[in-house]
Amino acid sequence: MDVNLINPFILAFNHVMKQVGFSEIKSGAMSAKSKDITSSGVILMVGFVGQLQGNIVYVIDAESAKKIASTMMMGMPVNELDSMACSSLSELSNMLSAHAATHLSAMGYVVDISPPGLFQGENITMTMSSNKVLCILFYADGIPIELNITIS
Amino acid sequence: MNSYSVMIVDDSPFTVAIIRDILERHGHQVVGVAETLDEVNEVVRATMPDLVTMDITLPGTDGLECTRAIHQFNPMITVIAISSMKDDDIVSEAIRHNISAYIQKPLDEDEFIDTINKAMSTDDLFEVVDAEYFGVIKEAFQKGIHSMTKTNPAFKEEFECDETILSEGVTSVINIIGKYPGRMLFSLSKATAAGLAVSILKREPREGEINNLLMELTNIVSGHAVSRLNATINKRNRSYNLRLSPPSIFVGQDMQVFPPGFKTQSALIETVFGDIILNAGFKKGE
Repeated sequence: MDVNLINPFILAFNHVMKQVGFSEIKSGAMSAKSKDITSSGVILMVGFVGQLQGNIVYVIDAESAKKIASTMMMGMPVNELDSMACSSLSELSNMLSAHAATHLSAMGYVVDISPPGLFQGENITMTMSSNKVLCILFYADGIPIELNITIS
Repeated sequence: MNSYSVMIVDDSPFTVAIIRDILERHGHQVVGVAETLDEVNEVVRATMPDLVTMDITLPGTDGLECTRAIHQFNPMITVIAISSMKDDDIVSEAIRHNISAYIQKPLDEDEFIDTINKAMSTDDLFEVVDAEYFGVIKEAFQKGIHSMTKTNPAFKEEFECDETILSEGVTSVINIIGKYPGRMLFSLSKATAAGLAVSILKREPREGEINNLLMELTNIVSGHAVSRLNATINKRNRSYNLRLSPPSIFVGQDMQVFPPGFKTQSALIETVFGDIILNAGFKKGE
């Protein structure tokens, strides 16, 4: 997988996270994973098709997910992932993916994205469609968000 | 009345003026004009139109090649052919190239506007897809399981679902992208997944084979179902085709699958390997 394809996601993350109320955005180490990823917490998956096809998977631990939902809802306390909190997290993954798709399009890769899917659990093993999964860890005001991209 | 952004592809300034006048009289906006393949590529990227009117005979290219270029950029753009030539061969070629409608010159204003409205207005088309999709997916599932395992699944219960689904242990998810985006998933226990795998492989599965097989089953069921739904959609607008992103498998006990924000339907399916939950739904789109 061309590692330059990660750039649209970094641009999207920097832009969208600031728009939804975070001020300090950092990106951490990038790594390659095999097709099986084990995670706990909230998993958001957005599919894409077009000149590239694959899936974008955002992984956030449960407490961080509540903090993100709270920030997006202007600081309203979020004690559990109710429908409003889930809706705000889904919308976040949709905005991040749509912005990344716009940047991918500027690079010549036109893609359409699916509605996000939201899953939650402990020790969930995700098997992706491709053996190559590119992973990057972001921090929004210190809250970690893991992004996994697989391109078939 | 809806207003659409339109790109005109035609090498006749007279025809461009006629098309532009009609479109503007009906509240549509002409955002660009092109007459060569290079111009088509340039203008479509710069203007991102909702709709393209396409001449078939063009200098150095033709309307089919230009339509391919447009759909390579964005398959959701609706293309309507407007040409002096019209015979069965060219119309079937146009359909093969995902051209949504074919109008013969001289242009009749009422026919032109009716054609645009029919191709672009899709509220009732969604109703058709919404009414058909679950039956189509169930049939694709039934055929997929039967052809792979020579057994017949039984549909026990069906219900509308806007609640969180608790995974049975293994969940296979595939996203559907297009005019009406959606999602389809299966949820089953690890034992059921293993039983399916043994039946299909006729031996104990090796590491990773159960998940690969579930991905294949998901691809087969969703591929067949989406092809059937596209046959319905294509009668109205070929650029509204549904497409599938690759499936993913989630393994974990008690994983919650949250509702996707649109109405879905579920079925509890009894198979000789164990029960499988099927859940799917479509969103009306923009």
